[in-house]
Amino acid sequence: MEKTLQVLNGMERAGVIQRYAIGGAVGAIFYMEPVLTYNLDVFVELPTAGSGLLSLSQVYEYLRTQGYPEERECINIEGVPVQFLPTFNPLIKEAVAEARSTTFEQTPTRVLRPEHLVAIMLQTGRSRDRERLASFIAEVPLNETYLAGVLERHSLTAKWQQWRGMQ
Amino acid sequence: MNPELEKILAEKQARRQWLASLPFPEKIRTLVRLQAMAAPIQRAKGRTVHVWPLEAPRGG
Repeated sequence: MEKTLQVLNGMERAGVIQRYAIGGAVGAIFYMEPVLTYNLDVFVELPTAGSGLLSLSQVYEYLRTQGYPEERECINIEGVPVQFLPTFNPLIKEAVAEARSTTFEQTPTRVLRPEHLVAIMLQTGRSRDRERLASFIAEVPLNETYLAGVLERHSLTAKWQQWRGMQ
Repeated sequence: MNPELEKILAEKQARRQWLASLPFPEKIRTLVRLQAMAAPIQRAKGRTVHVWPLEAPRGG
């Protein structure tokens, strides 16, 4: 995965993406025990296009020229299927902006904060997100004040209270 | 609760905490081993999955 992260860092340097952070299952694994996944979900802040619309076409085009093939919803970068997800709403935008810097072996990278991972799982709300959320909050210490702020800013407080009530 | 069951659950919880405390690269190596174990089952279900290349630990 280190080579994959080096390619992502190169994309930032080349200006193809402004900023990226790891989310999804691999983001969760940073904080909790490993769970099975085959994709690396990467949230990306894209350079502003003239139309103002978010488009991954430049990302796909850049990686194609580097020899990385598309595979369904992912691009295979150094053997790791990467799914690029643009910052399509204010919660994701904030999550990427406030992502935690870390290193993988010797390569710098970023991972979403655990409180943003919780908020995104809650907002997305698929059955697998709900399952992962239950394990995640049982295992990962959260900054409750920071989490409350995130939930409040993105109108998720009621959903969180409802979800907690069901646990 | 049955003391034997209590002991098993406590051990499982301790193992989860130990796994969670591993360095990120070590967790990814564990993930890759999980992928390899689960891949035949996933493929039998008709899913196309790729097991990630396993990178050797630094200095090891």
